[in-house]
Amino acid sequence: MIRYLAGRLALILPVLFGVSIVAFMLIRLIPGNPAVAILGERATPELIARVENQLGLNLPIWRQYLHFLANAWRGDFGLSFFYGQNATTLTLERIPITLLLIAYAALIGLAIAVPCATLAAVRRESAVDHLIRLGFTATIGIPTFWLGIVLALLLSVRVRLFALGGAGTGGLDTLWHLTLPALTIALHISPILMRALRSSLIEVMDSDYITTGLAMGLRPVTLLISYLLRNGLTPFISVLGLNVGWLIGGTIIIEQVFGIPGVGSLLITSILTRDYSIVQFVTLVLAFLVILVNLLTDLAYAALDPRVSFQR
Amino acid sequence: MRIRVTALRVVSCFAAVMLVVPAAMMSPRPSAGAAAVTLTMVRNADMLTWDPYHTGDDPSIFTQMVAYDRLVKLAPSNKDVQPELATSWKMSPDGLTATFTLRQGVKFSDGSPLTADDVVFSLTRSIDQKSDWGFLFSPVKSVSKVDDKTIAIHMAEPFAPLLAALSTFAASIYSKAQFDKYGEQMAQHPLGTGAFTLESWQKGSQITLVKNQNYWQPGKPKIDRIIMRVVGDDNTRVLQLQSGQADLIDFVPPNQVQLVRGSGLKIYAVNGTAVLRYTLNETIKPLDEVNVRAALGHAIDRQAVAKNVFFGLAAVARSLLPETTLYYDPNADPLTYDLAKAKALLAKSSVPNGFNLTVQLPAGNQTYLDTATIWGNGLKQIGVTLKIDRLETTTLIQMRNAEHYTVFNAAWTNDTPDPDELLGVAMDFKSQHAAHTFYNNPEAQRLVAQARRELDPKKRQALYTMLQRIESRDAPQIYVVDVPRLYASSPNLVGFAPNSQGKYSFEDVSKR
Amino acid sequence: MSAVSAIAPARPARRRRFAALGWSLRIGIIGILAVAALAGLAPLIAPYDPTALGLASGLTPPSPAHWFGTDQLGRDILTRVLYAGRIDLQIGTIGVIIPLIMGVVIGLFAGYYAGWPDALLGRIIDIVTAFPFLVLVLAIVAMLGPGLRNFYIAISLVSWVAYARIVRGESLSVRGRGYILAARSLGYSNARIMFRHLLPNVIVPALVFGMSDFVLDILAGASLGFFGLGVQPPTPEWGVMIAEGRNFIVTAPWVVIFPGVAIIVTSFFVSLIGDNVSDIVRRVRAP
Repeated sequence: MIRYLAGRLALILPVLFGVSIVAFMLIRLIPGNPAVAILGERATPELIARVENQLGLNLPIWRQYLHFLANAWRGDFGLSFFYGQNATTLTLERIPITLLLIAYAALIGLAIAVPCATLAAVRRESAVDHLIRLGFTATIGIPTFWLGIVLALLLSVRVRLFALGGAGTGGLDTLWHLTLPALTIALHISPILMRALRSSLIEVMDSDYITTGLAMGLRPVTLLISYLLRNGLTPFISVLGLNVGWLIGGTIIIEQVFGIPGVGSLLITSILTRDYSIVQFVTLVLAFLVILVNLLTDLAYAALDPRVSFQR
Repeated sequence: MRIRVTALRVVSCFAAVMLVVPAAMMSPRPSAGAAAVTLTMVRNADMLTWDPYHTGDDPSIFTQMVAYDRLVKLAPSNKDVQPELATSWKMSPDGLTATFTLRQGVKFSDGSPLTADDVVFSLTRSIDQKSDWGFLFSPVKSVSKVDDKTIAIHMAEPFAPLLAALSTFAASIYSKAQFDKYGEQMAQHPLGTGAFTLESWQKGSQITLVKNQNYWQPGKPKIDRIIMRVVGDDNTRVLQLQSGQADLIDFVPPNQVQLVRGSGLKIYAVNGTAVLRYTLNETIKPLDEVNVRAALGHAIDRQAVAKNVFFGLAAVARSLLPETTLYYDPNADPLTYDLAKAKALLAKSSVPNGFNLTVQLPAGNQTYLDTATIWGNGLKQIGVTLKIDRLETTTLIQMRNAEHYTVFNAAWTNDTPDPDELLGVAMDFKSQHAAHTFYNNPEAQRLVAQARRELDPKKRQALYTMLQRIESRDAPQIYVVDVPRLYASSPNLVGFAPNSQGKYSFEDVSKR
Repeated sequence: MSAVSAIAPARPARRRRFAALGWSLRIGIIGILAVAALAGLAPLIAPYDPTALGLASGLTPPSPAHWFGTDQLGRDILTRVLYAGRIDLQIGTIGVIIPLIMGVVIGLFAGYYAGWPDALLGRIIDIVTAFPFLVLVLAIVAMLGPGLRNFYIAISLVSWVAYARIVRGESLSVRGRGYILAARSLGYSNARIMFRHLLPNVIVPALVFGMSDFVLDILAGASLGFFGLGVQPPTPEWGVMIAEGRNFIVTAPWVVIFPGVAIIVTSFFVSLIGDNVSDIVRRVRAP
């Protein structure tokens, strides 16, 4: 297992390296640079040239990248052109909120998908199954920003159940503020989770030992919990892991809609304002997160399913 | 290799770790004491800098107005200024020197006294022609200290808009010691004499301002803390106000104003802060022809824009100047919606049967898009086909600055009630090729300079009327509507009164 | 391969086979054909011109004259929803087909040859998937400028990876099977083995994924519309209609509800087909 882990960990660095190159080039290929974004409508060519010079944007792009690498090696990811603050400070300050939002959304998504999928799988091809599947099939087409506004209208304005906007003041207040956005993201991803879970549960139910278990006279509920969940959850966790990128993508718009100070909204605004150092650092952090979750998923997968070994 | 853990235990551990770790990583923010009154304002964007020298964005301008004071303040009448950090002032007979007597006993929010040196230092940076706003003070040569209570401003020629310019954020007064300590980093660490001072700033999401304990106006401010939160989405801001989680919001979407007002909340509509206009690039044919430009200007249904885009909250523009600008003249032969006239003008041009025109708009701005769609509808009827090109905002500004655009949609926010700012930028070729249109009219240039020098209000009125008439005739820029600046608050907010330029202050605001 | 031919529209000879399909699959197929027909016939059946303004009748609620109401500029929403269908079906289709072809070809090569091409592809996949999907698409569109063509380019550059990943995985597990080895020993060219023997056995999961990708592409278009970088006016598109109408959600909900319903209905039919196809595949594959 240690060799397996070492191998997996060794792959992280080249991938992060690749991510940094892609992010670095991509953001610079978008027309208009931070000098323009900072100076705004009143920018004159002279002012732009001056700011470009200050920011080191007049160097050839490969030299800029080498500078970036050298500084990154020392843990310096540069200054946000827009906010005049360290890219690292600015990003790390916002990471916990996004992590919390993703985790909260994943949990709510689980809470919605697991019972529904179990019910649908147990009552396969019945009216209940069809109803559940139809419901989830319909929700997949709803854009999140629309869903978010409707939920806010219903659960925060009509019924003042949840706080709206921002991330609260920490602790329970934060959870209270994040419930609506997390619910929105959860509803957005639950169809994908539900579907994957249902089909894997069905696969398990068709397998021999459930049939045997029933034949042995075990109560279906006992079987469900002890056998079904254990075996059914493995593909489910891998679906969750596979979709973590999708999940993060979902938080981006939701952070924007609900005004949550997370990294997702920071990344989008930074792309639009060409805040190079922020874009570079945030993409690296998110990439690291995605890789880490995938690794954890694989480990959990192996832990849950004795048939999967760590050998490759 | 086998790890036997029950599924539920793994999952619950996963869940616990995922929720608890990030929650623990977040330090709770300081919360206000029990008796303290906090006002929560939700704005559409965060500010970027506290240094007026390098300020370009509206949120920075508006917030600097709150934390800094200036020598003079725009009077509610809008025609004049009233004392702020200066108690009185005097103009020399030749109009070249203005002396200001400073208010005594004023302290910065950290308790240090405001001195004449701070004022001279701040204003010397303001008039620096390399600063972003130096153009507002172009005839000012220098600022000097006369004695501990008095400063003098020296000009190369008489300068009528001086007091108006001194009332803008660009003439904010801040601590010299603070600048000496922080240098350019003052952008993050302001120290002023305003009613509120910066407590904390989470970039891009929240600014917390606290009451200045040393504020010079006794008994003010009446609230203890202002939290300015950033929520970019228009709907969310309105919903936050409705759900009671915001006391005050800006940029209310015009279509929701009726609804907000109906639900018992207060609406503040400030007209006359900005005019939505099209800037035409005269290096692109046939926009170099005055008949073509005027024809385009007569083909936009301003009434429809005011009604369909701004839901009756905008006024039809009758000048390049917003209506609250001094010397605004709505009757200087304005461009009006008149398709017959547009056709007649086009017939006299080199393209009598029309042509294809492109307008470049910032992506995501629905107001601009709808306005251009209405314009296109009018243009179609005079044979001109309007293509709407939407570009991501920074890309677009880059194109505009490089002067690679055809038609650009802008709505500069006015900072002073004096017309010198807007007309100077729009009609003086020296000012960035008349702000990128390449409109080059020596007569207009001469009039701008003359009006700036003229101290007699009657004569200035005549000059500015002439300039507005020339602008409407030559149509280097096509004005459309006077865009309202819209705020909304909960009914128990008292004393919030944005000035005629849309700027707000909080020293008189209280919560019932 | 019965699964694939089963999606093909019913021809007379196959009528019985169509009837034998599950009712939900039949609903899916009929539904999506109906959506396509409505969109395709938009110029004939739409009551108005999609770009004609009615400035005097902005934001009228649904009425006999305007079944779905009008937007703020008085444009008929029913007409726009119908016309938008043409763009959206195109987005869904092209947004699946191009990445599908790219991904399948690349995945097939990597999976068939294994070794370093596979390792290289593996890293590329890791890199691309490490970015949030929307962020990459948004950055590329910002780079190239908003518009339908650039949207396709962005989608293709990003989502081929998902198909490549699926096909690569399948190919890796199939390449050691007897019939592939047999084909090799018969001296068939690599290209022939890949496309004639390997492809039919690995493409079905990719096609199934394409069904759900269809909806995701339309939603990606809507998300870009949220940032103002969606399909450009005057072309109506459902996602952009919702994104741009979202300020009216309280005051004039019909502006957003009808295009929203159109997306939901379309994605519903496509998902029904996708679900059924994957069920059929599973049944066919099960021993």
